[in-house]
Amino acid sequence: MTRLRKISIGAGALFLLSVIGGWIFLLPVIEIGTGFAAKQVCSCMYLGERSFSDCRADLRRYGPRMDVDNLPELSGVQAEIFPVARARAYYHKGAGCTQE
Amino acid sequence: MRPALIALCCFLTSHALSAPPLPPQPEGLPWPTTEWPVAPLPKTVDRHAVASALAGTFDRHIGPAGHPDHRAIVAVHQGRIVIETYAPGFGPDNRFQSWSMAKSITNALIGILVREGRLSLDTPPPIEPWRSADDLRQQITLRHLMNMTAGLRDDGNAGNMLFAPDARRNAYARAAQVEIESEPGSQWFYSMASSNLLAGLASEMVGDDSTQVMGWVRRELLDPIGASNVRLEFDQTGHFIGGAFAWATARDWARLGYLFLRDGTWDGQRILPEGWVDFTRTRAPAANNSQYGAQFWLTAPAAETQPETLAPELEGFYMNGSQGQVVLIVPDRDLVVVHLGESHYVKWPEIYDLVDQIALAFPRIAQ
Repeated sequence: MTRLRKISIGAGALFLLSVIGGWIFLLPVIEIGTGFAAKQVCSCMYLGERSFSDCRADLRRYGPRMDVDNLPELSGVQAEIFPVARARAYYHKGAGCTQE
Repeated sequence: MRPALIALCCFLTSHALSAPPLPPQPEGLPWPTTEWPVAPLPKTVDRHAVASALAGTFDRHIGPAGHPDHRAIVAVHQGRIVIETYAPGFGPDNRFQSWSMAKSITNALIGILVREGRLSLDTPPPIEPWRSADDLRQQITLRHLMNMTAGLRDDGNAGNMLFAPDARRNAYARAAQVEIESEPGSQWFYSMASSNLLAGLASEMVGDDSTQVMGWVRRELLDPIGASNVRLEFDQTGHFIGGAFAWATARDWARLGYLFLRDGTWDGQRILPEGWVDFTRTRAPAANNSQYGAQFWLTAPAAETQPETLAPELEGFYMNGSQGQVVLIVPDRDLVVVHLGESHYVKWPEIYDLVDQIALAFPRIAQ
């Protein structure tokens, strides 16, 4: 095995370990982030009596950008960091928003 | 007299010597069940101090949505709303989020179950996942959980208890997984898990799903005090997430504070058990705590692990939630001050200073 080949395999293994380690460490954080965003915008709209755009704008101060979509036909909100994590929250009349 | 009764009497007596008494409803004044009585600021209040505190409040710290961080301020003095002001775009119909002020609603739910004789402060609560626990968690009492002295140290940040997939499914079960790290009663630690356990336990005891739980909360707590705009939020299995998830209008936050100011009674009805509010506003007995009672904070000098907050001379107790939520109860001024917002830019010292300035402008009431 040439020296170059050994270095390539080592670098590849290191990269793979970094990706796996990063995934294990970051995935829970990203899941919490999407859960937070979906729940926060849903509650702001349906309990705070404010518009989607107003609630969405209030969220911008927090953390990384993510896709947040209004799902009016479902009385819910979806937050997604594609393709890693997606969370939804649905409003239940008389109570509040539940994260799915 | 039985030893437990003697201990209770001693506890209540020693507290009565140190804390201002809770003032009664002013004679002839209607309770704010359907409407809040409204009045101008009394002449006895330092109006200049109030005006100075409120000046420009809604003109600064403008967040990304174009709203200021301070969004609603209400003060109730001797049973009447005497200050009520909202940021542009907000008003009496908007609900504001609790964050950790939900813990104080959880306090009330547990209080009702204690009054009904279904729970007791000094016995281990019937938390099912702990029954098989082969550790100190079986020694944790309801009082420990209320005081945040159970020895539970939440793993990671509060997000794990509120937004992680397992917490979304069952926040109660997620909280019950938290390991114990110190002997119950020995150390104070601000624990989201403790509050979610209390709220989850209450939920399990009063209903099978969120509709039944919310129905019980309405019947026992919200309807009697006219707080019809309070909304609680639940996990997928119907547990109130009592560490952080409730919303209410500013006027209903004031009603919840007012219930505690009036010693847990409302228009002739006892909602919280006798002595409960005194328990709530008594310092949790742990060496590293000076500012925490039972799911409420106290206006007390800072301890090593707790920062300077509201002015200790107020001798009050308060609900406190992330992003600038405060409901302060000051018995010897017959006062409730509500501050609600979304603190993108404003820092806690400015919020505490604003609430302090308003509260200190009110005179002490001769008892």
